[in-house]
Amino acid sequence: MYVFERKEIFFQTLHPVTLLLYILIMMIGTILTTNPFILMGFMTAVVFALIVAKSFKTWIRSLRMYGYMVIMLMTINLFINNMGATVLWVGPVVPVFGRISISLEAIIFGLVMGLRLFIIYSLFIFYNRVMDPDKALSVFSKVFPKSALLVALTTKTIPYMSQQLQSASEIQQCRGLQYYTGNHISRIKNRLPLIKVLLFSSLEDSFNLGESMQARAYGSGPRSCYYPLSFGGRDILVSFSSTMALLALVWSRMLGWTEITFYPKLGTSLTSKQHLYMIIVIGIFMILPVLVAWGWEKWDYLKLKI
Amino acid sequence: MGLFEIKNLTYFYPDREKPALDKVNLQVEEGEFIFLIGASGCGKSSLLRAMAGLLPDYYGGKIGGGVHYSGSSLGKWDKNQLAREVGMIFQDPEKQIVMTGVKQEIAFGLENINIPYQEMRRRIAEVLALFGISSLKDENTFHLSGGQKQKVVLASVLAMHPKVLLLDEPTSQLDPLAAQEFLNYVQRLNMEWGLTVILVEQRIDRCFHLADRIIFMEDGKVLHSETPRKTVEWAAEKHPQYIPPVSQFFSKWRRENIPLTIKEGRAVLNGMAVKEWINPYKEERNSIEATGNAIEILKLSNVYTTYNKKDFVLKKVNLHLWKNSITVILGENGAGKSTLLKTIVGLLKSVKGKIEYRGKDITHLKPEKIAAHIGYLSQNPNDYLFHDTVEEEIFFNLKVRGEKDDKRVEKILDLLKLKDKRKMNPRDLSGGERQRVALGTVLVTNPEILLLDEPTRGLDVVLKDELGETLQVIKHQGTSILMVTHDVEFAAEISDSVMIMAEGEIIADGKKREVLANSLYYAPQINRLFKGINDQVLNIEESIQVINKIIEQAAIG
Repeated sequence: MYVFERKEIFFQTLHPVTLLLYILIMMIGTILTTNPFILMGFMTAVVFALIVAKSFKTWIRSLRMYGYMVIMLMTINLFINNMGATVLWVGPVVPVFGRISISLEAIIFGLVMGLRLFIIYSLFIFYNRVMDPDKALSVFSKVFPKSALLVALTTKTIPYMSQQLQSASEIQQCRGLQYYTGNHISRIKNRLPLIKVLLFSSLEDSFNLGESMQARAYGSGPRSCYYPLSFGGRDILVSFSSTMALLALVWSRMLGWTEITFYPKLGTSLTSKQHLYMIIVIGIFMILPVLVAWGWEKWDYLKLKI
Repeated sequence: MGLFEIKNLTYFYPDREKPALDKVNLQVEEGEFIFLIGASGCGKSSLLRAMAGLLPDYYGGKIGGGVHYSGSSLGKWDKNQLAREVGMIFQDPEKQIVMTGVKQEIAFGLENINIPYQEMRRRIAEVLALFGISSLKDENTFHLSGGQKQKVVLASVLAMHPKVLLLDEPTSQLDPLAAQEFLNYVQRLNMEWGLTVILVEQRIDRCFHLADRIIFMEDGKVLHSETPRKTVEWAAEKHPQYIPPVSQFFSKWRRENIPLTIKEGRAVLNGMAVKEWINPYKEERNSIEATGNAIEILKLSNVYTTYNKKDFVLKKVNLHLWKNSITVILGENGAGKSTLLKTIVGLLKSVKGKIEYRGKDITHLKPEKIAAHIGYLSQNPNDYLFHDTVEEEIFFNLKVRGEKDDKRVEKILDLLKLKDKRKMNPRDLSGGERQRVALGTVLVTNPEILLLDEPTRGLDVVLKDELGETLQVIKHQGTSILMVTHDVEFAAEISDSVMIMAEGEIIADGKKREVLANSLYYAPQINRLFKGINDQVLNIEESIQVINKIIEQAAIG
């Protein structure tokens, strides 16, 4: 069950704007890029960031669910996509889908898509671990009051909903519903009431929470901020790094280096030496904040200085 | 002129034809402690909401008349400024906490009213110290107990330095110890800081004597507004359930100077009592169990349960439940009471020991199989409700078993007085009615055993009496009841046997009088009143028998 924990983690000490910038650039970069080398740079950065944020184990544990999802997507793509030129296997004709064929391009496309999903999924886990929802609400509610509130409350509500799901599931079992016996369809059908209970209860709870917030003057005028937030050395370092990575990404995109063609034949991932240097630059600027975080953790001098 | 001036206040919730508040006139002086009483739905909470400026702003609806605070109509008050003056606390702490951190939650209100950072830090440190929760300042609010959460909510409101505190059943979700601690803080805030307090609360015996004035409401109207002593005299005949048990007892035989507390009551009794042993309670010797005709319906032998495979939450639990009986389990939070019920219904598996239903081992049966014989009503009735109508909700338990209605739903609607609500959506009902629907879903399958987890939580005195009557009917129809509660008065009223649990073990088990009478912590108010005069008395009826005997003896003497 996810509950936000405040710990001595470098990324938690950053200004929410810095942190959001770093995560957003990686996320937007992943969405806009199909070049596997750039994606691998992002992947390395996010995996090391998770390790430095002490959430590697949580991430590994949650990968099972992600794994099922990616395998399913890759399999579907493999069978319904007939655009690849390098055909490896030709199967029978299936109604609606036509002739089933598996091509090298479809396999590579599936792997790249899987990698992108992997990075985005890992970024969400990283965000949940390091972004203090209270800090985010305090800071972002000045600019985006509704969105900030929505994100903060969602984060806060997850553990409560998980608890509620558990108790509602117990109750429905005691009413005679079978969750663990019977066929798959009846099990899924028997779980539908849980979603209804959860939805109704969440709506009621939100109404009560809103009332309490109104009674405490939320949204009634200008807000002050509990956090003495100022841009420190670490924020400047991480923001600089993120901005440089962003500029490098924009430049690469303008030159067409962030994408490769998959169909009908695979394009080249590396077109020139300059292309390689640019990929290295993007990778370095994405990994630099992780290195600083690691140094901050290990080296007291750095902790004092930034 | 009063701090609050309420004139002809009438309010209709959206789409309702009956007013929630009906021409309410009221004046509240600065520094007053007002205790609002009345049946569920009589308008107490609506009145508080109107005073906090939430009606009609948050709820919509139609409003007439006016609420004036400090000489100005609430409508003219800037919302930000009003929140600095009037703080409100609601029932369930979980539904009020916005932030994940304790300090941040306290800061939430201060940020909203634009308090500068340095001032905020000072105020947060002060309220943390005031409520003794400095050690929790870095905790995640999710990990706090109910009592701690409600203290954080109170601290969060207090940090805004309000002049008025409106409290809408703030202890209804708390255990007795946490509730008492919370009420002590409220009393201190009124006595030492001069805060004006307006409190709605079901724990009448704990709050009556704290107030300067009691306001009794009925059908949206203020029927009575007087000092506690005058209110006791007024309510003794018409609304006795709304006065403390001690006062109820004395009101049976005197009309003036009715004591409000045990201390006052004992002073009266000491002045006239013949302190000799009177024991009119021999009926238990003829109880079912004692006559040897008892049918053991449920038996637990040496049951152990654990959540983490290391620490046992239940340890060596032995329990016997007899047919047609009501057994109550009392104990502190975390004693293992709810775990025991969950273990019986198969939601938790015992790692050691045996659970037998009518001699048949059910230890390893799945919950849905056990449910055919043992009904379970959890603390939160909302977990049961997802159908569009009350009757569909109740019928669902038969439907999943493939059973026909056979007019059973009809009988349950009748028993639980829900006939006029049958076509309503259960989520549109009040808390007490929702609980009756949840109970209906359990009872419709005619279980032989009924397990209830804190069924009186959040119920007012009238609903509690009704629940007690229903449980007696169910018992006489052949169902055995095992109930977990914190409500000692309710236990003393309806139970046959009582068990006390502590640290996962049953530390006391016997007839209710053996366990409750003369107990330091679990004795009902009437028993404490009669301590040393007749230690066996548990409720008002019994106490009247004793006092009649004392008067008789005094007359003879």
